[in-house]
Parts: sequence; structure tokens; C-alpha cells
Amino acid sequence: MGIGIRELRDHPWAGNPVKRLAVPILAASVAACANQGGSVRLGSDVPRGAKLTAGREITASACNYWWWPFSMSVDRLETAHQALLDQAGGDLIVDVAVQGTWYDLGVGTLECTELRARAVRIAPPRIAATPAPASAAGLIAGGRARLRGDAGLRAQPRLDSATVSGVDAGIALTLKAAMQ
Amino acid sequence: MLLLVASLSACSTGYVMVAARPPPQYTTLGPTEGKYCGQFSALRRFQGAYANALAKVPGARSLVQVELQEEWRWWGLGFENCAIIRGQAIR
Repeated sequence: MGIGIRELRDHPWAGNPVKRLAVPILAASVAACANQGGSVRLGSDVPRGAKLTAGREITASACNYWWWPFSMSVDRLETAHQALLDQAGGDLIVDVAVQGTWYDLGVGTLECTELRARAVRIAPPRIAATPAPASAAGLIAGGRARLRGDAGLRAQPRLDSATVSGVDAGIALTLKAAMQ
Repeated sequence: MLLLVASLSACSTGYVMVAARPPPQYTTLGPTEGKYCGQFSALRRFQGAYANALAKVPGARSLVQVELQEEWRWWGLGFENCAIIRGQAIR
């Protein structure tokens, strides 16, 4: 069974643009599509209590073009995040802010995602300056007090043990000198 | 010309902080998830998703281990943009 010009002309919906558009719109609705981008982990895990450097600001962005009925991928967030990681260059990423921008181009839209963050490092521990003790006993007490009191040393186990060894060696040398 | 047209009809959500550095001391309250959808550009989708995630955990002040996901849905006459934020709520 074919459909000729006469059938189309005599169709009840012929000449009515709203009704003519209704079929494709309804068809599109039925075939409604959705797209989901990948989940992106924003920011680095910062050890609790870690002191961070001021760092530097880094930004990255990526866009997707969309023109119905062509599907729009949502990989812009992943692309922007990868660019952000590249800019961080192995540093920790903190204070991540996200912005979405939407441009109407007339024939389609441009959707962009911008990420702004800070690339930081864990600050090296600072050993508190204490006045030089007058005696060997004072040196021992001062060294132990520094080890107990400096939170930065506790946050860095490797540096902690190295510093302890250094202080112990200093105490031993001073005691040896005092005994002689 | 294209850029001119684009700049005349653009809108932005503005920067929304979604993964702030955690405070020195905090308590983890548990995992949470927030979603917010809106038509077309959905300018409040990031704020909305973050606020929804926080609202699900009483006492939550911030999120750590934040994951963000975007999705869109065509429904015939327009499209809907969504943001989904997951993370660990902290106090």
C-alpha cells in the first residue's frame, strides 16, 4: 500500500504545521535520550592535620557541542579534570570549584565545564627554635620537649625518626663531653 | 561573529566550591549523595546538588572525597541538565 501526493494533501493534518511537527516531536519524545558522564573524583586526599603550602592556582576547562538531535556526550568534566591533574603535576589538589557555562550558538549549544583549584604540597615540618641549654640535663629536657611538642614532626613519621636519631646523637655527644 | 553571538547569549553557574580542603580536625559522618536537575543550563545545579548532599546528613558541614557527575536528559521539547555529587559528610 503506497502513499501518494493526493493522500498526503488530503490527510487531515496536512497544512497544519503544528500537527505536522507533532509526529516527529512525539517520536523524539518517545525516543527520549539521556547521557551520563563518568564520575570524577575531585581533589586529593589530604592527611588529617597536615599543614599545606599556599600552593598555586590551577584552572582547566573543556566543552561539548550539542545540536539536537545529535547526541551530546558529557565527557567535558572528565576532560577538564584530566587537564587539571596535568597542571597539578603530582601536587595535591585542594579547594576545587566548578563552573558550568552555556553558550547558545543559534545552531546548537556549547556546554563548558571549568575547574579551578589550588595545587599544594605538604609543608615540611619546622623544628621550633629553643634557646641553647646551659647543661647536658637541660639539653636532654629541651630535646624531649621539642619532640613532644612539635605536631609537624608527628605528621611526618619518616622525618620524625630521622630527627629523633639526630637529637639523640647530639645528646650522647654532649653527655660524653661532659663526663670527660 | 560566532563568538559575538555566543557571548551575547551565554550564561554561567559561577564558580561553586565543591571540594574544599578539610579542616585540621573533623568527624566523618558517612557517605551521602545529592542530585539537582534543571532545564537547559540549570544554573543552580552544582549548588543544589551540594546542598542536597549536605542536607541528607544531619549536622554535616562539608564533604570530603567528593565525586561529581553530570548527566543530561532530552525530553522532547528541551533538555534537562543534572549534577550529582557524592562524598563523605563531615562535621
